[in-house]
Amino acid sequence: MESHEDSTNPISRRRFTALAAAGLGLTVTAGAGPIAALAAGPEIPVGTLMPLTGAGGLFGQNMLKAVRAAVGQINAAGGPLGRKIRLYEEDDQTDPDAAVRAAKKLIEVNKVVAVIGTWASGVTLAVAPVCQASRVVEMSTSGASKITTVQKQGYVYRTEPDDTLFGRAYAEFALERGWKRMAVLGLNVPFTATTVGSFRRAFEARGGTVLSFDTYNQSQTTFRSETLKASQGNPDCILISGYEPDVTGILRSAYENGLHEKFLVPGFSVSETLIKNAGPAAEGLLLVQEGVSEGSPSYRRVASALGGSEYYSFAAQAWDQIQLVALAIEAAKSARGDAINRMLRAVSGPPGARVSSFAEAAPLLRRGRKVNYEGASGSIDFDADGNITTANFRVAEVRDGKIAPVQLVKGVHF
Amino acid sequence: MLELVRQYFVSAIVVASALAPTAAGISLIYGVMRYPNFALGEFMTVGGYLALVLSAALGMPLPLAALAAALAAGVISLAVDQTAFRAVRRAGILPPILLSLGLMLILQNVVRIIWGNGSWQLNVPLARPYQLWGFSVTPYQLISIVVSAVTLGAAYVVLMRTRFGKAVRALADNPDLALVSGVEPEPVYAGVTFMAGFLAAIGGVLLGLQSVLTPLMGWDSLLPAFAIAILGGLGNVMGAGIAALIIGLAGEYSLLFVQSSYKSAVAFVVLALILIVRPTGILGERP
Amino acid sequence: MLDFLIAIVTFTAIYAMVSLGLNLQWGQAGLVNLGQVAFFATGAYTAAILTRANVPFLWAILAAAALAAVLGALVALITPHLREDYLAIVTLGFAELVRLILLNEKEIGNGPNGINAIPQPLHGVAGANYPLLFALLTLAALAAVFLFNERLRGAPLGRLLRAIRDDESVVASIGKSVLAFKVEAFSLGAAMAGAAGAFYAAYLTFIAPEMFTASVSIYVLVAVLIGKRGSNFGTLLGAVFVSILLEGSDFIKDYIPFGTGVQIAAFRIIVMGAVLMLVVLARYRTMVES
Repeated sequence: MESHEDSTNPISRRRFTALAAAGLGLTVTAGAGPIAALAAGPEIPVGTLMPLTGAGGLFGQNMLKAVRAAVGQINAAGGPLGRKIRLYEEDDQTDPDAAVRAAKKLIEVNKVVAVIGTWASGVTLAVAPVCQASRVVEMSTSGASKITTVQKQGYVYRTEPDDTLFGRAYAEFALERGWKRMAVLGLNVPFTATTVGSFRRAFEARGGTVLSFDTYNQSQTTFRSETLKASQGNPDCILISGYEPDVTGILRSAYENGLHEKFLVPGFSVSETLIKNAGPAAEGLLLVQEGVSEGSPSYRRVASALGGSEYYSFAAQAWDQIQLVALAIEAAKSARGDAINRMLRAVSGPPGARVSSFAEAAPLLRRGRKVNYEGASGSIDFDADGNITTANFRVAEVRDGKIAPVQLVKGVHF
Repeated sequence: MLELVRQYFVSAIVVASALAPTAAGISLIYGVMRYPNFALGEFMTVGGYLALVLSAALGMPLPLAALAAALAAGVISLAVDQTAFRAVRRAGILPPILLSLGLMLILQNVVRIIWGNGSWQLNVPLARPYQLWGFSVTPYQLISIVVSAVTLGAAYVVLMRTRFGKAVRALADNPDLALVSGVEPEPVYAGVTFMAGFLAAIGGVLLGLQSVLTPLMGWDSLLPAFAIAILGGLGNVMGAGIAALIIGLAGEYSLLFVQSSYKSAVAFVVLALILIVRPTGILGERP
Repeated sequence: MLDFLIAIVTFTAIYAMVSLGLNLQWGQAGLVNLGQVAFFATGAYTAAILTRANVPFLWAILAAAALAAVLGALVALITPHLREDYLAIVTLGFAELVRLILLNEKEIGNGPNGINAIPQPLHGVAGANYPLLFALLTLAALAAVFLFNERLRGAPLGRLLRAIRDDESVVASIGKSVLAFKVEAFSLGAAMAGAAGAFYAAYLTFIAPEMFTASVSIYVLVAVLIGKRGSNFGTLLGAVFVSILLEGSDFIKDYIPFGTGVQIAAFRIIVMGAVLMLVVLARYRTMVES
């Protein structure tokens, strides 16, 4: 699972060791020789808490793959403070109850210094008090606005733009297209509640009309009637706020019902699998994508680690989360949760040299320089609450079975 | 609005066609062996994925793959029954419930280990609908309805016209009397478990025609299938077909009044209301 | 590690209370309730809403138990003539209905967003040792529920309930109202789940509808069945067994050196399923006798 072998060449390894020795100087006890202490510097335990079973399982599997690959690269570059990161992987089962028990295990038993990858908003909210009480950093990909109130107590960081922004991005794009009448179909989860609310406010404030808003359940398997209902009154476009299986089902139903409506969906619901499964029904599908900085060096690393050419928003975010934790440890010269919490903001944003990976940043940090991590999911500059300050939304369209960029959505800020 | 009322009717039949075979399987086991089998939803999932492998990877035509998948699911169901459930035959309702829960966890996650959490699609081309007496319906929806009806019909014939069927009915009606009159129960139990696995797998393939395959598809269909089985009367295969239609219609037409996210509750409200009036289901407990 | 054990003890104690409620309904009165999570959720939401409105925790527990009891009585009243196997499915569906109402009716508890920042009783009294204090409070509540059930077992009501379980017509023939006793047993069991819900909400400080799925009912059902039918002590042991199954399999998985994360997570659940089946096969005889 984890690679404990040192795969770098001997020269760079020696250099890392020497630099790390300086960094560790304070913590090495008087009796122990520095070489002995460093050669076997204790591993730094970091926990992943992701949905590997349950409704979010689809996202968790890519996120964990990305984190494993990132840890491989971080450790190959010597690891923070010259120590290896040891991953403890927990499955939150997309269930806040199971998540809390898993988080307690990670923190109390495995002694992790950070919990990364909480995905469902319910899981993030349930785990937050546990992390805060133990001074362990929680890195989340949840978008629910409510999380901000919890973030005020520190230790909780989000790499996903807030859902209200997502909703405004839908509205901006719809209005730009000149659409006046929209229908909404949404999976009944916090993401839908907030994005659709915010979309509606922005859209209706500027003359748009939401013809219908229907929510469906995670357990629903067929969508024939729902799709027909949403198409009533000939909307200019139907917004589907859902995940891959249900979005696939709705698109296929629309096609089989003989509908020709346009559909707008969140980018994370669309993958190559969806395009393959929905076939002709996916043609012309419009995606509002968040949280990927395509063409950036970090994103290219994520894409090559995961293979294929899918749009890996949550995986890119998970990749950035582990990189940021490693950078914060290096910058704080300590692998304690409170030290990481202190340095996360500094390494994520300006001022500092722009870096795209731990390997690139570590030498600078060891010389006492400041760094500004530019991630695979965006530039990721945390504000005082631990939210990202800028979010890029991009619209893409499925054409000939490929996801083709259409335009950037402008004017969506915090 | 009127157009919706008309089209929801098709949705209801299509949904019913996918759920009815599984519900019939649940109903048979419930009626003859007297316990609700929570693992039958997973036999839907297993059936769907097996049909996928046989058709996509081994190149079998889909109808043949579906049949082979259903036979395999029947054999798995039978094998588990003989190795585990057989031991708790006379232990009341709860031990077999627990066994079926354990089996449910195992099957669902074996699927997850092999195929992951992603969704898969049976290799059926998407089609635009025909207009049939004013109803829009696609070829695969028609096929699903026909296959479901034929499967239930065949099960009905087996139960009504064979010696095995007679024994099944005898055990379902009055187990003590059946035993006294010389019915050998074990072969009947074996046949019923095989049939239930077979039926559920057919249901899984039919659901796969309408939707995508995911590891949760069986679990998601389980509660409505239970409601249908009880509504139709335990052990009553034709009842399951009619109850599937009722639950399907109630679910789809509820969209005229409430959010779709109440749909799964509608099945239970209908069930509760009918049970209060008729405690043995709509058609009573006959095959 | 000690803090982790305290957390697991707290969880176990909460689920044990829910299980004792089910043991009263099934083990004593023979009512097969697969929807115990509905009463647990009712209690959790009641307590969360009340404590957020500054109602003291003790009152919130009582209100949570009372509301769950009323709901339980309602279920028992509309299903008096159902056979035990039908009752199982109806209660399963009832629990789903309750969850969907919590999910869809946003006025109750913010719909899918759930309720957060739920106040904790005596918070700040024990400082860093608060988790231990909370665990002790929960254990005290569990002890109270346990003693109540034990006394009930020996009391005339308990004997009547067991008689109803074994043969309804006998009880009816001596002029006792079977329905009244069934309602009483069902609502008492629901009240215990409701009280446990209050502790659950306060412990996690966050609740959402997705936490109250059928899997909770299933866990407590397993806990009750692993013990000896009707035995409260057996139910406690059963709850401990379920915790060990859930948490132990989690530890085993750290030592699996192969497979993707999803495969390891799925394997863990397969192990749980297999252990459950094996335990049933080894112990089903004691499950049915009382």
